[in-house]
Amino acid sequence: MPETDRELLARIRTGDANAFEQLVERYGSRVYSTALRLTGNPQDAEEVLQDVFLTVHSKLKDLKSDTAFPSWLYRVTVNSANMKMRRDRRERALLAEEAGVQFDEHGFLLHSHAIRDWLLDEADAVLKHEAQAILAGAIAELDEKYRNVLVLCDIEGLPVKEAAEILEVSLAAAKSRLHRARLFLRHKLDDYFSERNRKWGKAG
Amino acid sequence: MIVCRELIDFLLDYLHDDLAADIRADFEKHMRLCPPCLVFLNTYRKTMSMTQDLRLSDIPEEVKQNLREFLSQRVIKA
Repeated sequence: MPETDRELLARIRTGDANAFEQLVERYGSRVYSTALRLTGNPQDAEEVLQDVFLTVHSKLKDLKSDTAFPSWLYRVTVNSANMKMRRDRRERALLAEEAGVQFDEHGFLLHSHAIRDWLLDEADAVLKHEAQAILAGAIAELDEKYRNVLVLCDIEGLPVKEAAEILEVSLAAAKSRLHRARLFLRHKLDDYFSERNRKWGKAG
Repeated sequence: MIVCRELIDFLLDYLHDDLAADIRADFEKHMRLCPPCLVFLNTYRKTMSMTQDLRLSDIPEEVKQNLREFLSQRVIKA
């Protein structure tokens, strides 16, 4: 049976370097994947990855309960990525108006602003690759409070409740931010697919 | 009967199966009668699944190697 986190962490606390390497092996890809999507570039993600495991090594003794380790690790990763992104003073987007949803005075979707389904052919590798690049770029454009919850829930697959705890916000705030982040990304993808359909003369 | 604006506010709760039964029934009724909202729901879902596909299951070998070297200098020998 594989060693549990609790056993592994106990060995690390006794100064077992081999155990620490195992922990890095076990959680490295999760930290890297999260960092890559939070920072939007591989160089920053690599620095975050290194920073996170350095922090884990020095702060592990302060961790109250080992069952909380994965959540704590995500928190350390998000904090490290945020610090890095704050140094990058690009203007960050996300206002309701930018979600690209328009209603008439009665709250009905404006039909003139035709909403078309995307012709998303999964087998089309070029299309998929392009759309993914658009998406990754749009995520990096999000303001951090939206980006954090989106990456934890929709990329890392955490329940919203757990993401809210990690980010220390209320469940309602986490849900609202996640929803707005998704609307923003949907809008960006919609622009991409509309443009593509127009260019190739296909009706959407 | 709910309008499109409310329907879009409820999308997340609908997909997370978090709507009260009566609101869910209204939501589904609206969806049957409003093709633009149905398309909106579809594209919202596609956005979620495409986002999910951005998850990496592994670290590039070079990054892994750099991490090992970094940690062996900063941590393991310390």
